[in-house]
Amino acid sequence: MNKPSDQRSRMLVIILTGVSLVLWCYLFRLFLNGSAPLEGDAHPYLGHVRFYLENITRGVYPLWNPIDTYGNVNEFFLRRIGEFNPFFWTIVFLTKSGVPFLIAYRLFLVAYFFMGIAGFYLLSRQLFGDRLASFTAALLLLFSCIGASTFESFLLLEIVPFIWFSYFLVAFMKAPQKVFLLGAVFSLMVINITYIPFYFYTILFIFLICFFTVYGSRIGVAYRQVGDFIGRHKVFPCLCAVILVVSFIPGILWYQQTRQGEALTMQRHNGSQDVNSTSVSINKVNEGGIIPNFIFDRQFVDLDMVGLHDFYVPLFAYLMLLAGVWGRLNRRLVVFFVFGFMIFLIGLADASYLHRFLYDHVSFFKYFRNVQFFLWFAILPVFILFVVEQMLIFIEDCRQSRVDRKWMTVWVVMVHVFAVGLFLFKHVGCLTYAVIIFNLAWMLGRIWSVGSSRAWVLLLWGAIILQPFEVYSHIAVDYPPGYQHPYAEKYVLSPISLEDGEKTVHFKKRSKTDMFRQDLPYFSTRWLYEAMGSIDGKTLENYLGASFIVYDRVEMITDKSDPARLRASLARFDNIAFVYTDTAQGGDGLGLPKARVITAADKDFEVLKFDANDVVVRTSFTKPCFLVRTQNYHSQWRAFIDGKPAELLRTNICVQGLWVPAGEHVVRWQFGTPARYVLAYFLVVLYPFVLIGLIWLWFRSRASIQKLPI
Amino acid sequence: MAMVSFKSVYTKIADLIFRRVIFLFLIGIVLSFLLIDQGKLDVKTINTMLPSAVDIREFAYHPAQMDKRKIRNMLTYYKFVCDIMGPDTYDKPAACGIVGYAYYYLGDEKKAIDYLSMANKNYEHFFWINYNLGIIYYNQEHYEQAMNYFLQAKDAYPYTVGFLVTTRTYRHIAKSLKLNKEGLQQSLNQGAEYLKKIYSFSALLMQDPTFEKQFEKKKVDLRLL
Repeated sequence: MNKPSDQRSRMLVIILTGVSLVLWCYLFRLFLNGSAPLEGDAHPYLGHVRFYLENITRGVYPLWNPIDTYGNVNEFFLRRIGEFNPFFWTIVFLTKSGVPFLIAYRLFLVAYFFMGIAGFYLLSRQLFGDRLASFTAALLLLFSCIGASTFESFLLLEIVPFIWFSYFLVAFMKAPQKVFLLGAVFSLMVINITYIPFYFYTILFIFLICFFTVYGSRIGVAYRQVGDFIGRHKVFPCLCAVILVVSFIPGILWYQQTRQGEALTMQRHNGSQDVNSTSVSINKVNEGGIIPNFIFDRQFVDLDMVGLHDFYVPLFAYLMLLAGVWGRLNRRLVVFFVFGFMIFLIGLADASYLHRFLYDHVSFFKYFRNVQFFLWFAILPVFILFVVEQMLIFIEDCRQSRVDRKWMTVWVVMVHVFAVGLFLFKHVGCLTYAVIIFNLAWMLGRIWSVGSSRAWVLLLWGAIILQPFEVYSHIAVDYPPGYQHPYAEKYVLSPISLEDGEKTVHFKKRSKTDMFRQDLPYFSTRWLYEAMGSIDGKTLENYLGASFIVYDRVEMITDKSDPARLRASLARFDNIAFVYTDTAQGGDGLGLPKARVITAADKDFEVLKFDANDVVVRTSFTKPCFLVRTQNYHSQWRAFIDGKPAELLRTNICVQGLWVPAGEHVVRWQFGTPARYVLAYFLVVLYPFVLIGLIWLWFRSRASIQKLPI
Repeated sequence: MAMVSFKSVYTKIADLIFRRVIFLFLIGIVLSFLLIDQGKLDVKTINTMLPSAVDIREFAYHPAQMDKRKIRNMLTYYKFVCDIMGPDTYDKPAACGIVGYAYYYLGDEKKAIDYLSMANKNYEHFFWINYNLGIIYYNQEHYEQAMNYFLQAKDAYPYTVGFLVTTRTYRHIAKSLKLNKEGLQQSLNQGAEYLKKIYSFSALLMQDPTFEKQFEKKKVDLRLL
């Protein structure tokens, strides 16, 4: 390719990249403009992000969520989203600019995904050193199911830092520079604050084994390079190591907290023998796993039924995979293959022996399930890289002798005829056939060097994007409006009207009653689960619906006591509270038969301050009273009366109570320790600071990055 | 000469197989057979093995042409699925519902009720399970119980569309039936129409002391869907 033609091809690639991004936005327009609801896990994650941002922008780091299931430990949800991720601040920026939160959140998701695509492009550039190959890799990832999962899953929050870490790691190993080290450390920091960094560490470990097995001689080179770098920049690597270690702390604290078993995910933990409340039993893990038949079932037939959560890669990848089977093997392909295959075996759960071995011998395998997510996290990206490597070998093989090219032509035509035959009886749309034609034209053009480089780029682009257009345009059209989930937890669909045969389903905000009538909460305090097991839903709902309750008398019971008396007492709001220690028993019980439910400020009770972790009230009772706050009890709640620590008791199975003396007092409830907040605010500041440092280093090193050896 | 020729053929074959990408694929296939427990893989493919979903529809619409062998296969498979799945998994009620359905068409109504009740216990808001239980009791002339299930079906959230779209078990069925969203909605509406017929008169008759007799008089041919 001569220079002007190269320039024109480059320009064409840039234009096609822009068009592809616009097309992607068009395909998912209903999700972008808010017409279609977020599905699956994406929906609760939106809630977690919103709750966090709304609090942190008010200066409150929310360790407790007073709204969720009558008070819940929020750390679990913070770990899910990785709250310190500085890119969340773009949502704040957008909302402050007047964009509605729901739209701002979707825009963030899309921008974050595009950032991941950019990272994948750069990673491919590092691996292949070829613009067209990188463009192909990025395009395949863009139109794969990873893009669709943006609106259905949380996977994106993990995949994007995965990709960027891979890029920075490869770049650092090629040319050790500060910017790459900081980039890799920052990506790790983002991964470490998520609840389940175990997917990543499994992938990284398996990759390193595969890489150094195939490229054994590189171990020494890598060791020397890293050693030289540390020798040249002593302070910088140490600083990186320190911030990396700091990023592990929230996860470690969360791990320690879950060992106490005060808050748990009942569904996940059910059947596990481990003391840690986030552990999952092997049976639970085995309910999931990759289903190979199901994946391929969705790839080639009924493309109009592909959903957001279905595994999908554009047809081009499979055509290239088949067309390239006679390509020459190289070490890179072997690494991709072995790595992908090992991860695949782990992802099969009990269908392969590898997962069971790891579950038994690697401790962190007990803390995550859904091993099928490895499909998205590793197998899909590595499959794309494998195919692109095959494409490069294919292009290289096109320079072979005329006889070899004849054989290539025969094979390529056979593959495409096979593809047509495969689809002929499967009722796919015409665009899938168009892909086959485009791909055949592109491959024959490359084999016989017919057509210009720009024509090849255009044909390649068409061969990649046409089928996704067919697949994902159905999602936009067929998406059931208002549909969330068959077992909706946050929202329910209104009952179908038998009278007028109404077809449309609508959203209806879930009432409090539904929570108790339906399934147990996904994650809550142990005490709420116990209360739900002992007390009927209606009674519990009524009781917990009252914010503050004042009692005159307190009696001790045990967790083994017959709950009938307690149940009756709660149902009638009797003027007696039940605690689980004998030190707090007392009270005259001479007051009214019913407890006093405080529904508004009164002359002897006033709320002075309220946020997620901190509640302050002023009381001026005429006699000592037992004040119950109907938030779930947790040992990290501390109470103070006039600034002095007071004993906070678990009361009526699941709520908080304390004795308040007569006269004017200020009662305060605080969740968590000051040190925990100091750490949190430090990390809130640290993450954006590191990101800014990374961007600054990037621009400062731009010239050397462009000259990076490929 | 012959040796040279053999060597050159061997070299060519080695070049064609061992140094080509296809070698990786062959290795992958062999390792898959060695390292993957095919039996457990089938358990995970709860929707892709049995039954032929078209058969399921045929049972309902053409009971006379039922192939009992196919129903037994379906029963064996979904019974296994129903037994191995945890109580809080999404597909459990669907799988147990299908077992009940299969038992019904094999003529064992008691077991059909057992499995449908198990499905109902796991998830009480599923329209079809309540509806089918109602139909069985209705055909057995246990009208009070039938009414209870019909009422539950009526109050059930119309999850069916979402259910069919989402759960692996039903999605396969829907796919085989070529049911798109409209098709699923149509299917749901058909059930709702049946239910409407039963409900509209039975609701009135419930207030009548001769309720059971009148109900019996108006008995219509209803089948599990």
